[in-house]
Amino acid sequence: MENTDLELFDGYIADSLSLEDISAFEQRLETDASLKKRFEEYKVIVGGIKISRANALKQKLVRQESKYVSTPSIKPVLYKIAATLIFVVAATFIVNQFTSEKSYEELYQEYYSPYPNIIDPVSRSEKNNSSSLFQLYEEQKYTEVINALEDKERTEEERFYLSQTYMAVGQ
Amino acid sequence: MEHLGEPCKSLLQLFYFDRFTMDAIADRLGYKNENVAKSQKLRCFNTLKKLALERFSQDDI
Repeated sequence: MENTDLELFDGYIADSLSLEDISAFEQRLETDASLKKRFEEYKVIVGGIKISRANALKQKLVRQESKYVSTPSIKPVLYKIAATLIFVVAATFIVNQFTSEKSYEELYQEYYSPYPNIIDPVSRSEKNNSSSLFQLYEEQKYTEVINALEDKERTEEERFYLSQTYMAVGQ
Repeated sequence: MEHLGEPCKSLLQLFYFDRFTMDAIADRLGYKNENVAKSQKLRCFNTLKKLALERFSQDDI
């Protein structure tokens, strides 16, 4: 191929020729079979150059991308599983809290425990046959405590333990 | 293109794909001036054409 051909073809493809030159070139293409053949070859070669360059750039991009895309780690999966388990446990707990079918009475029985006797604790070493009201309370003789305290004037401590006794017997 | 070698490969790709001017190509590839780069481009183009014709028959093109 001559330099004049190449410059003409380049100019035509790049649309940098004048209108007269374009018209003259297109007329020559119709009448000059040899020129037309050379131009067709030119277009194939240029097409090959462009495809080659595009493929090279694509491969370069893929290589660059592979440097920054880390291999999938198992950690995110474990985090997701852990988060799901925590959510399920928390949701189950919350749902149970609000949809529990236990009655107040059952809940009371479940969580109630008698307040300890701190006023006059039972001493195992003492040989004393008579027990104070507080010791009767500690020994869970609630009926006796109620009978003894119900109709008398009570101290503050006695009132407290009487109320505890009522709670213990479920009144 | 792989068989073409350098600097022809870069020169043709810069001109036909990247659309660099011949002046810019001369500057980038270290040619003395634009005309030297143009002469080199013609040689490279003809070499590539020859390689292509060797590989494919005229009928394929």
